[in-house]
Amino acid sequence: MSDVPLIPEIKKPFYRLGEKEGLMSWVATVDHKLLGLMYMATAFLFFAVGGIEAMLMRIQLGSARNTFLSPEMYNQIFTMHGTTMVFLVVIPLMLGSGIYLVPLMIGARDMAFPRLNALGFWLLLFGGLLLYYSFVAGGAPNGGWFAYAPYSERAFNTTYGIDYWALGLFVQGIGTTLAGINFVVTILTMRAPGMKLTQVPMFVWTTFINGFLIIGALPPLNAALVMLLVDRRLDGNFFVPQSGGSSILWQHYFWAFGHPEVYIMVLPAFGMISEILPVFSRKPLFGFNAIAISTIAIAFLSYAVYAHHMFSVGLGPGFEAFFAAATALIAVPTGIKIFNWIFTVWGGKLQFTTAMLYCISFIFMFTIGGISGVTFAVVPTDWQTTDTYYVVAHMHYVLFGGTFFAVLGGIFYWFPKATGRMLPEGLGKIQFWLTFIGFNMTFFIQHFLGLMGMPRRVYTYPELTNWSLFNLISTIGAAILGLSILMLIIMMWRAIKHGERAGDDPWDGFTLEWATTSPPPIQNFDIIPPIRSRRPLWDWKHPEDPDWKRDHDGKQLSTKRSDEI
Amino acid sequence: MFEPISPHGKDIADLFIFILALGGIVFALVVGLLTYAMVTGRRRATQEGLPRQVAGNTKLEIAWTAAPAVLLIALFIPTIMVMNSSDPAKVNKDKPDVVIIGHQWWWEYQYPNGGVVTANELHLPIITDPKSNGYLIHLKSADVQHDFWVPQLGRKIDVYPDKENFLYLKPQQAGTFIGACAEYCGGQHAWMRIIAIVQPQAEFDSWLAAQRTPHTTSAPTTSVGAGQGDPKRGEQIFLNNTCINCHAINGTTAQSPIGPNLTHLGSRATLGTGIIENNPANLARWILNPGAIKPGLRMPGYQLSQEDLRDLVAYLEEQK
Repeated sequence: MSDVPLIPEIKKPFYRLGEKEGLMSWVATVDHKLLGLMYMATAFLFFAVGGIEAMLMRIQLGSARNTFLSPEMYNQIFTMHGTTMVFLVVIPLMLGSGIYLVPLMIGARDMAFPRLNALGFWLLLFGGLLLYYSFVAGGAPNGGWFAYAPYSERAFNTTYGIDYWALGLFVQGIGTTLAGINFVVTILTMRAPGMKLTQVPMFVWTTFINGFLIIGALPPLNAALVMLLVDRRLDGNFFVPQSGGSSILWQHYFWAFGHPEVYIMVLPAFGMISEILPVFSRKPLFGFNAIAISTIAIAFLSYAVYAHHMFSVGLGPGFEAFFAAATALIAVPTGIKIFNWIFTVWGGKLQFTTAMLYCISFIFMFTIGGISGVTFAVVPTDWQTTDTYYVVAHMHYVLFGGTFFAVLGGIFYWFPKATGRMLPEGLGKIQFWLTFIGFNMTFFIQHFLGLMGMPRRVYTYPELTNWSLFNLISTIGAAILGLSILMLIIMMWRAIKHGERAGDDPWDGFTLEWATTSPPPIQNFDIIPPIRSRRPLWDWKHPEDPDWKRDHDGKQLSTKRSDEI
Repeated sequence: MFEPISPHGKDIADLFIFILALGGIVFALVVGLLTYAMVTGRRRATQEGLPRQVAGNTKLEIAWTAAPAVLLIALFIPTIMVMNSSDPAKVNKDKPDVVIIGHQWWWEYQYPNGGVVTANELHLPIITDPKSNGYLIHLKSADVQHDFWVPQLGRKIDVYPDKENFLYLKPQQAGTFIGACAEYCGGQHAWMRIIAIVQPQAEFDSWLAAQRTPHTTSAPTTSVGAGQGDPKRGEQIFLNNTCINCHAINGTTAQSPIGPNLTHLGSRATLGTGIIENNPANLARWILNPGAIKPGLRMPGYQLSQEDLRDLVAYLEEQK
């Protein structure tokens, strides 16, 4: 193979229905870039809704015995907040960024199944709308995002809320599964000529593994949702203890989905970090293989740890010891990643862009979330801390300080690629610090509330020492966080129209998406640089020191590649 | 949970601090390394040329794979030890000392050995015998899932309609300890609080004996008319209204187990499972419109005349 760029062969005209401009071009599109952006926009829309729900909850909890929300309203809102953030925000963010970036990063024209891709998006959107329709159809679901039986059964929950919840998630779940299949097939079959599966960028790799996770995890949830619907509307008895069903069975099904789900929500974020840190350190990712293998390890282990959500059930010491050991094991591959990221930054020439700031604070926040996570693997401390605000704090450190910080970094990093415009860096840094301070103020103190005995999912609490004070601090933090997100949305809105022109490659990137225009043309690439390593663009820009002439530890290889001799 | 009053709670608290210390070391390491990398990396950014393109270091990578694995073994052994010590294996499951039944949204406490049924205040004796595992508690639910949690006593455990759970409680210090239902159970999950009153054995025994003995309603005193209710008349109002469809009072014909048992209601500190203080004014408000205090609960309000209400409250509050 020579160093001459490849010109992709276009075998058939690009598949596109309807108009080229206007609303119809969005509705009818099968283009992965438009669909990816639609995923992101939908996620941000629901993020705004879920964020408002969070603010309402924080206002209610701002002081003891507050009467801002009725108990019934509070319960609906915390259920919708959790459900929205998990299924309609974080999953779509992970899927949408993958759908946008994966074909660009592997030098493909589109996903393997463009129409399936479109179907997945519309199922997500309408699943979400179906869920929210419950508000006008007699009451939103009020069973928590986990909907434990028998409270979610009709005997205790007579409105249609839970039915809309199950149906909405069922529809959304099909869409998510389709996207998972699409990722796996795309990454296996659509890579540009010369790109080995071991040479895909880390974000592509984590999305690839995520595809398998989705295919394994979503179907159990969908099956359980159907069983719940059968119970509620066809008088089934799967989870009704009063007539011979088992309420604990629901928990097994739900968490068999629910824990892999945690990793579905974080693996692509790991990928984003692994893309952004190297670029702003001007170095390759440290220990690519170790990160790649540890991602596989996390995916496997994630199926074997789910019952650590059930340590308070009383399932017996043998059962609990097994899941404790498996859960603790996950700390090993996670630790590998953290140290590899640190050593990616180590010895680099650092550029503290907003994206970089988010990625570095991701490492700090995720480490805090990881350490508090160990206390849930250790069964006796889990017995104390589970179902308290300590969990709320932990989980937000992983999902907000972790995943969402990575997504924010990703937005600052890839926004120029998607729109052709830069987000303002100066304002971006102010936005970063607002988010960082607001986030830590909101959630760090919740660790203490949990340890002081405050359970989760309570609409109010009695006047106990410091409870009101700590909750008020958390509420003020949430207001700052809300402001920072508002600021981000305004910044993005303005930048689309008035932002500084980005050019094709504003960050001097390493991976293929920076080899095309910003925004990329409909066919993605006119030329594809030759791919001989994990950083084709680095090799292209630095012919004197390409990656494939260097070994793992950075030493120059004297031998030439076989095809050059 | 950091002021435990039982050996079970103490073991867990100690383990938590141990994890926190280990975690703190790891966090300090991460912060230290990353800060150093940032400071030097920032300085290097002003220099000419590109940094060395290092893609890995096999020795280092093996080190940070092995080190956490060792750390986890160091954690796993105390985990198993504390699991056994803080939640010992149960013996004589058919002879529990207390049966706790979770209801939407209150707690029923039965003392099978003492023949007492009460609600919302759990009385426990101080257990000093080092050989004893403690009081054996049998937990079940009458409706949905709940969770019994008093942080200072030890672990929390779920309460199921279709699974019988058991727990040892071994309090060693007198006092009133606050807990709460820790599993979301519906509208008033927030007000399903737990009040555990730990007393010396003798005091506990006399409490048990007092609870067992039905209260004799006192005859109206001469001071009636000065705003005082007539308990005898109150008893009749209680028995002639639909109160008895749900509530029981020992020594009367009211024996329904649906709502909280009201025997010796006057001896309890709160009403509505922790939501308001127990005093005559609050009790009257509660009877007239409990839904205004605890929205969504099962009890209906009663339209009683001022006089009837006063007498009913007098009857209930008199039962200390």
